[in-house]
Amino acid sequence: MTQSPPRPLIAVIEDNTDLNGIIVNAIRSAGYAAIGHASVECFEQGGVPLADPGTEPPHIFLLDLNLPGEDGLSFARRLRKSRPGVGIVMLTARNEMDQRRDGYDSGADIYLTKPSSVDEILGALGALTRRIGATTPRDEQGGGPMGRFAAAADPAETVLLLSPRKLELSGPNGSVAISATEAALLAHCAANPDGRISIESFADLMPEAGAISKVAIELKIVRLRKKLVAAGFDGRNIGSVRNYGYQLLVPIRVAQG
Amino acid sequence: MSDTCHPLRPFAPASALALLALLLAGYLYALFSTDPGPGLVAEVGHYADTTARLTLPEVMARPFTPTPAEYRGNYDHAAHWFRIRLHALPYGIRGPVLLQVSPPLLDSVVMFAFDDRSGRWRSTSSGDTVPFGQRQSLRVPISFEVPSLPLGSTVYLRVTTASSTTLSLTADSAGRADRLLDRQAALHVVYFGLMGMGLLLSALRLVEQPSKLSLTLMAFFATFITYSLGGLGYGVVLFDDPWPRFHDHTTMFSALATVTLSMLFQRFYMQRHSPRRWALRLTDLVIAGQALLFVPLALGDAQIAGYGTVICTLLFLPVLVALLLTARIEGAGMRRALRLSNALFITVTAIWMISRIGLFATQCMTSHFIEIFGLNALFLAMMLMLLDRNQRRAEQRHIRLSVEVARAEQIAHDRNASTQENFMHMLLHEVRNHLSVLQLGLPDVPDAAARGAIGGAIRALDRNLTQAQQMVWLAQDTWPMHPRPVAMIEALDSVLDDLALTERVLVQGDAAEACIHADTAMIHALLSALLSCADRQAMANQPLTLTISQAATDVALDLTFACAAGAKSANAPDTARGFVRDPDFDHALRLAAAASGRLEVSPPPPGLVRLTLTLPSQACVPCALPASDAP
Repeated sequence: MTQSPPRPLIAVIEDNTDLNGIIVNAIRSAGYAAIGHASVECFEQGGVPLADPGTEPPHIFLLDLNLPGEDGLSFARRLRKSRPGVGIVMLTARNEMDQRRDGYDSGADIYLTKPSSVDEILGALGALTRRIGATTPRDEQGGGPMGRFAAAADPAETVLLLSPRKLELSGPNGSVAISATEAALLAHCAANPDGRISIESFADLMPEAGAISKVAIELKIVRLRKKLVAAGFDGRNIGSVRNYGYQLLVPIRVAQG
Repeated sequence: MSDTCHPLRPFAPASALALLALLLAGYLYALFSTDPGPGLVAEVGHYADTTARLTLPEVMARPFTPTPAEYRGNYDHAAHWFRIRLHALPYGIRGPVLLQVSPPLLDSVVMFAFDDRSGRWRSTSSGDTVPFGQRQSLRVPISFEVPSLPLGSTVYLRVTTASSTTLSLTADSAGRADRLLDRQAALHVVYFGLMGMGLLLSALRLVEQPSKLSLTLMAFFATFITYSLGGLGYGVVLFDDPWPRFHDHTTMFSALATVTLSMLFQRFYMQRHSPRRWALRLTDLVIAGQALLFVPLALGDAQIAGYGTVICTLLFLPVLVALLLTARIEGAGMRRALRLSNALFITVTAIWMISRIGLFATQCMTSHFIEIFGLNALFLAMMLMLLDRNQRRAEQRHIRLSVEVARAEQIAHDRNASTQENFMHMLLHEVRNHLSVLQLGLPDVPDAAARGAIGGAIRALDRNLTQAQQMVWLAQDTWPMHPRPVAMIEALDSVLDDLALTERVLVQGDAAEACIHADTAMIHALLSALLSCADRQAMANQPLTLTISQAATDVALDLTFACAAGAKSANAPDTARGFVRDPDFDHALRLAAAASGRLEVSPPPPGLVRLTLTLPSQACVPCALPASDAP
């Protein structure tokens, strides 16, 4: 009998009480266990000393940067040192590149800027949950993207699943909505053995074919690349072929019906 | 600024000038009072023997023309005879009468005096104990002892010289002449002391401020002291002559060097006050001409060197006036002091020079001209050093004050920037927390339209916050720059996504791999401001056409659309003006400038607007993924 991974406990450390309450409620509503703290000191007084390896700390920390007392960066650094396996999501009003880099340098896994939507926060928590080996509430329900993808894909091979009817792409990270043109482009690639599509073919596939330009085609490809990354295909997923066009570099399967 | 702080300071140079002038005038008065004057000379008659062969008895029969005791003749080869009637010594004074001929520039002077004992005229070829032909220096005063007779006496002088026959005759008792010479020697101690002080001060200045001006000043004082030692006869007394006419040559060379260096230090000083270039060039020409006179002097032609010096000096004086008038001298006090001291110098020099060419009294060049010229130059040099020192101090004070002001401004700016930054952070933190509360509460809003409106307002406010922060960075020049290659298509896609403009913007062009080297956040903000502005200004439901092109050194984005303002007014400038008032456009302009690019707005046909953003693409390594080769 296999034991399913534990559902993660999430600590929300945010000094704005309204925001703290809303986040905790949203997380709990999504099926996670969550506890809110107004500061690092409040969290530590709550009985989870970081230095004690015998205690079980939360699996994921959702940290504000500007906190009364010890700030989020310092706490993240300390946390990463004593509990390397925990997930850390930083949620802050500072969106400068330097701040983001400091956040990642201090040990954050994901850096979110305020105002973030519930979906963004839950998406970050879901990604971290998978990384630390726990199960997300949607995984448990079997109706989440992972579950659906797992049912369709060959477990030995990571394949991009294109559903032209639903205008949806599925991959290791879940499903992503695409446009009809993007679906047609991918289907064209899937129909060719080497996954290539010529520049000339774009004219037939795109509705604005009359005024199509290299820049417009590149823009489509850039967007498609981002969606493939969102679906879980990082790195070089669509390559350029000199004097020809583009080539899809990930295995693709087109769902029928 | 310094003038207002110290009301007495402008008077300092003028006061020093007045004090120094007073001291020098007192000194010269004392010096002139040591001149014997005509003294016992009762009458002087002159006869020019053009053949230079007549004997005394023959000359005595010729008519003598009455002439003053100061005689100025020409350059000729005549023998000039002077009949001098001398008064008897006052009652109670004994001893011989001393007849002095100055300046001692004459080649041969023979005195004929009647000897009562022998009843014959006796000649003395030199008044000195040293025979005339063996004199080490022609500049040692020529003196003759004449026996004193109760009823006075008459003597004849025969003068021949290659130089101009210019002389001054004085006669007094030997005792009084000795006393006057002693007083003169004492005053010369003061004179050499003053010149030595000038030398010392200029040497100190050279150590403190090594420059051509300092070096020339010091060289000037050194040569003038040498010239004075020779010219006043002290060189012969102090140093044995290593070879014949050593002192004479030294004196002549140092005289020429003195004039040249005097011109040079004035030129270098005036150069600091940026006079007109033509005045400086003229000065250089005159100085070069003066320097060339060393050649004839070295070849033994003192006459050309002497005349040349007079001409160069007379040319230099108006050039110096031109330098003074065209120089930019700051401060009325300094300007006045400089002009006054130069006016004195120019006047004295002009009088002396004019006297050399025979247009003025002989007295000017026969009596103490070395001391007068030396002290005049010393006075000018001291004034220049004083003024220069004052100016340097004023400049240093000004620099110090400027640095202090700049430092204070910097501190105030830093404090202001810090306050602004802290305030901005506080604002961002507080407002975004509240926006987060609203954003997270959105799913609970049942009405989709209201949800959309609130979401849009949250995004707009968040964007305004970001823009405010960017404006603070731009104003304080503190944008956290991280330049790296930026693919324009990717940057554009990200902005179009953020602004939800993917459907409205039609992208055109062939520069699919357009790339620039810039700060990503700045380019994102720039494109965002530009497209937001265009989105707002464009006519509803009309597309925005964006064309990307890449040239050798830059990437250009042309955004063309039908302008809402243009629909009401067909006037193109109105359309453009309405555009420029848009705050997003202003932000985009600032960002474009910060990214070393430019943003231009032009209304091609009425109702349309074209925005052209040009960004430099230098040092941009290709940022697109490498393409594989075609099959």
